[in-house]
Amino acid sequence: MSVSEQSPAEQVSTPAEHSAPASLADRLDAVWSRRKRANRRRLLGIGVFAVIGIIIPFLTSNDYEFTVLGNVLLYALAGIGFYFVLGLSGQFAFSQAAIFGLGAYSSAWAERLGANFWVGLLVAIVIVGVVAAVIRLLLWRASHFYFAIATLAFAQVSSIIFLNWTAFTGLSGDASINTVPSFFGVDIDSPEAFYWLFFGFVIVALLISYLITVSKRYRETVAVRDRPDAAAGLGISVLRNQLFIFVLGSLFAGVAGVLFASSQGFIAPDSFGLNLGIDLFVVVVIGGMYSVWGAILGAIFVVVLPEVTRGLSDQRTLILAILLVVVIVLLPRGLVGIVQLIRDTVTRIVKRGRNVA
Amino acid sequence: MGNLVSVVMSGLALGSISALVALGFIVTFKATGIINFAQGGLVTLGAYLGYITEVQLGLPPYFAFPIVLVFMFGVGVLLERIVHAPLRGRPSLVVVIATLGVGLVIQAILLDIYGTNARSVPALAAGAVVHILGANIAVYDLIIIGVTAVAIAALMLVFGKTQLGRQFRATSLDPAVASLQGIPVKRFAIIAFGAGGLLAGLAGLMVAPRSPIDTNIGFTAMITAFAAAVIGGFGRLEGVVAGALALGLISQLGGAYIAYQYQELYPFVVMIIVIAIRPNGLLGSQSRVRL
Repeated sequence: MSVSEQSPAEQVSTPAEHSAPASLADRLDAVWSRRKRANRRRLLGIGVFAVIGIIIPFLTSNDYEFTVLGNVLLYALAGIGFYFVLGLSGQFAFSQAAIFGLGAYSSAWAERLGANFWVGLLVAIVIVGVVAAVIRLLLWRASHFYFAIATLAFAQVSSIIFLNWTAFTGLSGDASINTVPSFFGVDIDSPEAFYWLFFGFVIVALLISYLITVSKRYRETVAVRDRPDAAAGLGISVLRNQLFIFVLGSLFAGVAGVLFASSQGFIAPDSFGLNLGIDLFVVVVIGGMYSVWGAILGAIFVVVLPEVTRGLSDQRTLILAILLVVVIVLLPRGLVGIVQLIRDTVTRIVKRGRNVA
Repeated sequence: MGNLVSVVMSGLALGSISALVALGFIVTFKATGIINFAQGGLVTLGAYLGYITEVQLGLPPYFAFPIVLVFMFGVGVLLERIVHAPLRGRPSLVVVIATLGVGLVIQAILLDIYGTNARSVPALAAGAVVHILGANIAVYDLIIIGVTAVAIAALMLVFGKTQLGRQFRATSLDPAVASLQGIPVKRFAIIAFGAGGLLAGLAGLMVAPRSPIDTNIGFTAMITAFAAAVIGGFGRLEGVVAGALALGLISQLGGAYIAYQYQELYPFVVMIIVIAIRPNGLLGSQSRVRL
């Protein structure tokens, strides 16, 4: 039961010149230099993203636009986490929205007891990390389908608990957050300030994902995803690998939940239900399940689309659900796939042009 | 005593509905190895079709039910054409997301048309009660239990005794060998999705009159039915029925004697514990796909 559809970047590549019989050393060199180039490209991508993120606020004038941009970043943060779990690791998890809510409620609870924003964040990280680890360990023998069903049930359980465990959440799950986060003495209390806070977190998330991509862990995870038995045979602990990725991805969602709670100032169980779950699925699937940039593109798409098609706001869920089906059936690699297709086509045309000349 | 009897009876009725919902995706799963996450949407659709035919069009049940069931068979076939046939050979994750997406589309369309207001559908034998051991039992609950029993008996008969059922089981055990034997495996997938739709329609029609319906009704029912199927060991009809009845009882007894507000939570907790301890279900699994 393989999960992945290999993207070109992950395919084991052979040297370009098939004609000249290259020695093993040459071929290894080629693989290494290609990997180094790809890593440099990834860093460059993060740099470009950072520059765009810094420039955009100068083109933004009002609170409304900053709120929309902030939402894009929140969805991107949760989406990057979901990319790890669903795309990179191939785990059918439906728990992401519930974990997002757990992060939000945990920080709200800590802050109600007098913690400041950063302590609340820390408390939420600990709670989310423990809960995610317990869930993953409980389901350690579960297969793909059972994992999906059990995490779906976990989401259902969470929404019942958010609603009813009033000591933790609040009366019928309503909690207000009055703590204003501050960063080295600067109060974060406007949509613009929150934009910068979210931006910082997304950059950190991208850097973490870069570190994972260049590490052995990335290749192990792909191996576990595509050939679990072979990976186990090579001495990779399948459970430990999946546990690590699941907890990491959940932490991203939890942190996004904390940021969401403190920027909204008020949370209710409805915010973390099926609709958020659909949104996160659409973010990852539409953007492209097998790349971290898919989460970014997907987040832009999911947040900005309803803003530009305001007349259809009642049909938002319907449009997103239809898009989910259409994209998964027709465009398995999402928007990133389209970008790659265009890039490949352009490269081919350029090359052909050179050959002719 | 009377209280306990009525709690048990309502647990059995709830369990029967779960079993009906579960039968739909079990039949599909048996023939195709795919768990249909659109089942919840299909059940919701069945419930609203009951509302449309019986309330909006004012048709009598004996006329409305067959129409809905035939229509739902068609919806199931359509589903197979959209998300199963084109995705043959694609990773199961993709098929799961696609079926889930179709379920969400159905739910969103209904939400768009009917909004968030709950709708009521009249029950057969509305308001009638019988007295059993000092408890008042709604006749409609007995009807639900009866319909479920008949549906399960029919399925067991078809799977166990007929030529078609034997071919179905062969497909379920090994599709490649089955198709070498001349069994039309692809056509069976279409029939299986159609039957899944029909059973979802039946479940929707049965569940609709019990309480006012909204567009989330099927999704919640689907998750509970998943729990029942997991406990019973996916793919075994008798296991699924036992699991569904047990969960219905657990939910009702827990609600009555532990804490009412967590009534819907107990089945899921039990299921997660079962997966943790016995990943093949308490009764063991019969399915070809390693779950």
